[in-house]
Amino acid sequence: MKNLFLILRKLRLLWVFLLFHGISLVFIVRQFKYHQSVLFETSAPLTREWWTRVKEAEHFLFLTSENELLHKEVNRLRMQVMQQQVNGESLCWNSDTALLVPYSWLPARLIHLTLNQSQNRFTLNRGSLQGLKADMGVIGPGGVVGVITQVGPHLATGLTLMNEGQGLLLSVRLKSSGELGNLVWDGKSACCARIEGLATHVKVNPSDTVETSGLSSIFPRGIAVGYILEKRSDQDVEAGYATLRFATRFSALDHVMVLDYTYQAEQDTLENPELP
Amino acid sequence: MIAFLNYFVRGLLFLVLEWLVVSKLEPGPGWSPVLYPMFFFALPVQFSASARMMLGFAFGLLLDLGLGTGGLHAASTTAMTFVQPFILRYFLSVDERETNLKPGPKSLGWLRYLWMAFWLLLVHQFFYQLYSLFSLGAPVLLLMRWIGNTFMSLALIGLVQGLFFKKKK
Repeated sequence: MKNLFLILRKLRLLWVFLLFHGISLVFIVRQFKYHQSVLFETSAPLTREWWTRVKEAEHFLFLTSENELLHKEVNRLRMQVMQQQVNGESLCWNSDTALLVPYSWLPARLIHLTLNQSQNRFTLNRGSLQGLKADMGVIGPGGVVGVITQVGPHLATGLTLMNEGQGLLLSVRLKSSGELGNLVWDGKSACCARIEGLATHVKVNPSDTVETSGLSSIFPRGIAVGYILEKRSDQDVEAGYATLRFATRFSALDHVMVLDYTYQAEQDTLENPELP
Repeated sequence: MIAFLNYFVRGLLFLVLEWLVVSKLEPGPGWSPVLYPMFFFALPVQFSASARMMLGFAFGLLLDLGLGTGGLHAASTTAMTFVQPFILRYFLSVDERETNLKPGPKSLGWLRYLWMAFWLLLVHQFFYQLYSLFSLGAPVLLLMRWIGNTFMSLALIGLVQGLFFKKKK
């Protein structure tokens, strides 16, 4: 620092020169209209460029909050779509029936996710204090992510669709034909799973959408689970299988939404009357 | 005090001369020879560099006020007085610098004096013409005016030195 001051002091003549020169230039520009226009023409693109950069930097810094806003907007739109599906509407929006929608959405972020286990799990940054309960469905931007299994006051964990065995059995259906099946992950690939229980006559085409069937209270009907990967082989047809690619890109997952079924308790009571 | 008054009167004289006479000499548009740098050439070698620059700036600014040229003379004179100590160091020997020499044809000899004046005028005219045109879009015009005005000013200074200051000898 001391050396810097010494250098600055050594160059004091230069500073005085630059100061006087600067003042002179100001006088010149103020005196002549031609100089003013030249300066304006030269500085306008530079100023524009400067402010563009500043705006870009500002946008970059505020991306997180914009992301949050977008996420809320996506929530709202999904809610609208689901309301229409629940009410059997495809295009029109009926505000009177909006209150009948039995699901609400809670936004959350993934803070932990495993991808290479036989029982892959996730952890969310929300817990019971924010209204999360066990057996709530979790969906991401692409489609179904998994189901919450354990809830703490501030965090919650659950199983993803990538679960070998009977950890998570999801009832799905083919969107094109409405045929039902169960989703099973064999632990071989992080991108694919298979549907079991399809009838032999069911035609399955590549890219057909596989969605939730709505037969459980965890997920409403029509949320994407995956897309058929390839045509069924004879062996698959015989076994009732079809291979699908997950709609959710687990490796790029960040924001998710937790589904809260409004009539969960009522449905549980009705379906299992012997439970307390 | 007498020396200060002497310089003050000289400065004033050059200022008035520039206002009333030299600025009217315009052989053509863009051609504007100057005489007043002669006043700065004659300042003693040991005159402080920063004081020389301040004097140059003030002189130029007064000239601009009188001629309505914004800060053209102030900028170019400041630049010239900024480089003057370095040029003097190059032209003068150590002994000459220590004797507080006043550069002139008498003390330096005509050739050395004009050679020194040429370099200083070159700096002066470069900034003057650059800020006059205020554009790098016409480099040939800038170069012509720069070199042309330098030689014209040099000729004017040489003429004045030859006519008036030689007689003092």
